[in-house]
Amino acid sequence: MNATLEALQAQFAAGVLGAEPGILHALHAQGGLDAAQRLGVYREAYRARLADALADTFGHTARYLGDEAFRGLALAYVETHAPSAYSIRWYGATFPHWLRRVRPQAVALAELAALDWALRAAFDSADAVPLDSAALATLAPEEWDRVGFRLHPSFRLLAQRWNTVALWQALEREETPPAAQALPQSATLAVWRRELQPHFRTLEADEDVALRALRSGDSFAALCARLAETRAPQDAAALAGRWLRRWLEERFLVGLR
Amino acid sequence: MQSLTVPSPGFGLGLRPPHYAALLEAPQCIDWLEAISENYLVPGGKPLVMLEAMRERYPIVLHGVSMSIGAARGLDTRYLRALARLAAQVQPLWISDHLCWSGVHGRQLHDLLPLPYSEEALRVVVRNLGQAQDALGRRLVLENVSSYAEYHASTMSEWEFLAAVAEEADCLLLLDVNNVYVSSFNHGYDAARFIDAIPCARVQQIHLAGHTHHATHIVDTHDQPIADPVWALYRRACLRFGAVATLIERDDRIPPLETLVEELDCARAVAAGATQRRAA
Repeated sequence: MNATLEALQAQFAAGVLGAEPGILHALHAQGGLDAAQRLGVYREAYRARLADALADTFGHTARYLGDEAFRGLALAYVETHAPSAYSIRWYGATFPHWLRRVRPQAVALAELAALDWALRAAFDSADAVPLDSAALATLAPEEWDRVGFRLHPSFRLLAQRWNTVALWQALEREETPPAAQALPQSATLAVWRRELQPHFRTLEADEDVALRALRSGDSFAALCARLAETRAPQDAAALAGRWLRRWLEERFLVGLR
Repeated sequence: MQSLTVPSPGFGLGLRPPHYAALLEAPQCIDWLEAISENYLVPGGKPLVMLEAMRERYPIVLHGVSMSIGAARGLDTRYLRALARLAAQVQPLWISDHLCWSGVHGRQLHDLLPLPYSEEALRVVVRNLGQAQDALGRRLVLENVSSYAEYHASTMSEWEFLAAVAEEADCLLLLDVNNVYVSSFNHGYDAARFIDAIPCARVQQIHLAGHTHHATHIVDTHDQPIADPVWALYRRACLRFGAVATLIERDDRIPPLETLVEELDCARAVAAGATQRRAA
């Protein structure tokens, strides 16, 4: 029934997204503008809007590259990545991965973009009430054998091979970032939201393994047992206890399981 | 006869994040706020906390940009469900979106794209509006857009199309006076004819905004003060429609809140002058 309108809309979209001229015959030339110039207003607006959205979401990446260089890359991404979500908020999910592919020599760039994306995701991810440490005080000793923890819905782990955190922090202060450098040892960054503010922190050695285990449903006791495989039992218990206090304080945890 | 529209809450501003602090700090001479629905269709965090804080201070209207009411393939039911959930939380005075389409075959162009003013498009829009109004449990308020292209397939004027949509779908209208002016320049018609053809009983709201003049055409940029010809057209609209809820939109080069409140006072003065003249 709506075959003509659907075909017209598909043709118009092809004219905006690509350079398909098919729609031009369907448009009036009026006043000082011909049909191509009229379609051009939409073509330009589409690209500008998406490039602006990327510059907003990937603010530190844009500052790192400089506005003009970032705009060039953003426009190149827009040409090959049409949005599919109803809100422009979700545009650019694959931008960090795409940067890694098109700028393999700019080593820290993709990691910086991934950090920008993760912080934006943490900003408006789902809400949850932080776990109160008082809830732990009432656990019976036998309950400690099987209790696990739920992490905040905003919680993400990012692998770091470069000094991305140092770059991000310098850019945040609007200072010249240091040179990109490989870390002596790869690290893991936790990204999450505390109250209304996104945060990140570089995790200690093995802390990422422990948090991944918790996230996949392991009990706290199992986590302690795994630490004890490579440590004296009292050291493992002390380390797990210290981490647990820190995770509570930093609002990583939102419930028992 | 019972009125179709909600009583006017007065003169409002588009809610924009740069103004959150000023709006929370002190009461402002603003009667209501219009929130962009999509900015709050997020899982959680600051946007929804801010919207709740605004709701405690001002009546809220939800204004969407993604419904794509003119999409030939029909509406995105996930979007409609998400919007209905947001509306249940926010309890807006009304919900509006645009008479346009914004995507096809799974691609979202994030723009307010023009429809042909044809019988076929009319049927599609009326069908989609029925679906949207059922999902939201209320009349939708539909806004005319700025356009830069017109189709040979059109068989009626934009104002005839808009009036027919409103009557057949039983929806309400958001008359964007700046969009009328921009489109009238771009397509060479008389803006006054547009205003004079709109059914008075269905006008829930008026939008005012700034634009950018490129000599050959005008672009609806919302990045500067309202232009003089748009003020003149607003006066004509006030004479015709009476005391209609009026809102100023600003989306780029956003000035301090007090600058927009001053502009809102200009709208109050124009509307008051027109109302006196109507009464005389």
